[in-house]
Amino acid sequence: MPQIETWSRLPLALRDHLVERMRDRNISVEHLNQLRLWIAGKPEVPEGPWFKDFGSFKLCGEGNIQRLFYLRVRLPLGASFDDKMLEDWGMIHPDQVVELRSTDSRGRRSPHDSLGYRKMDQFSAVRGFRSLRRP
Amino acid sequence: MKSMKQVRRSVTLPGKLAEQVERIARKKRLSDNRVLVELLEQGLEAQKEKEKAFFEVAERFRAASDPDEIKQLGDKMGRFIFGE
Repeated sequence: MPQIETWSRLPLALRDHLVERMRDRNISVEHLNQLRLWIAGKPEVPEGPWFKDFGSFKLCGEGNIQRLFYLRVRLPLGASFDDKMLEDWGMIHPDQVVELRSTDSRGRRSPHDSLGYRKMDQFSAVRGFRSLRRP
Repeated sequence: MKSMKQVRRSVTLPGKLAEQVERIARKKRLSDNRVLVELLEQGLEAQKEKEKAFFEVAERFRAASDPDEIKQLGDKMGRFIFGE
């Protein structure tokens, strides 16, 4: 089972991307600290695409962290992030760096459940969401 | 006054770690139990310090406006989170 790559082994472009994402105030520092604690435990990750929910962001990758990206999801208030919704959405290619925005005009985020690992082929986007950039 | 009640715990250690604990205990002429307690206390303290340092760097990183400083602190954040 692969382990997540350390910072210095990540490609420069990916590190720059992560620095940019970490500046995003929608991503909570408390949740970044949870990510730090999780990685300190040297977790093993699946060979294929995977992601882990930290609340205000999701850490995604394929195998080790080389293809990691953050996926920020905002759902309409009251909506939950459930299996049905995942099934209804289309697939996001793991190469994509995506930032998702909801149709919630007030910008409020619904509570996320604890997803743990999920296969990326179950993962998809609500209509109207778009891919903003690639690494 | 805060209770200093002691609690008995049974823990399983990896062989190499157990050997290291025994070696330290012999060297310091302490019991294995005492060494484990000391190491745990030190570990917890170190963890607390690291967490404090992380939040301090995160605060400076988010407040920074100079691109060079952002890059430098961002790199520090990355090392904190993803390891060296």
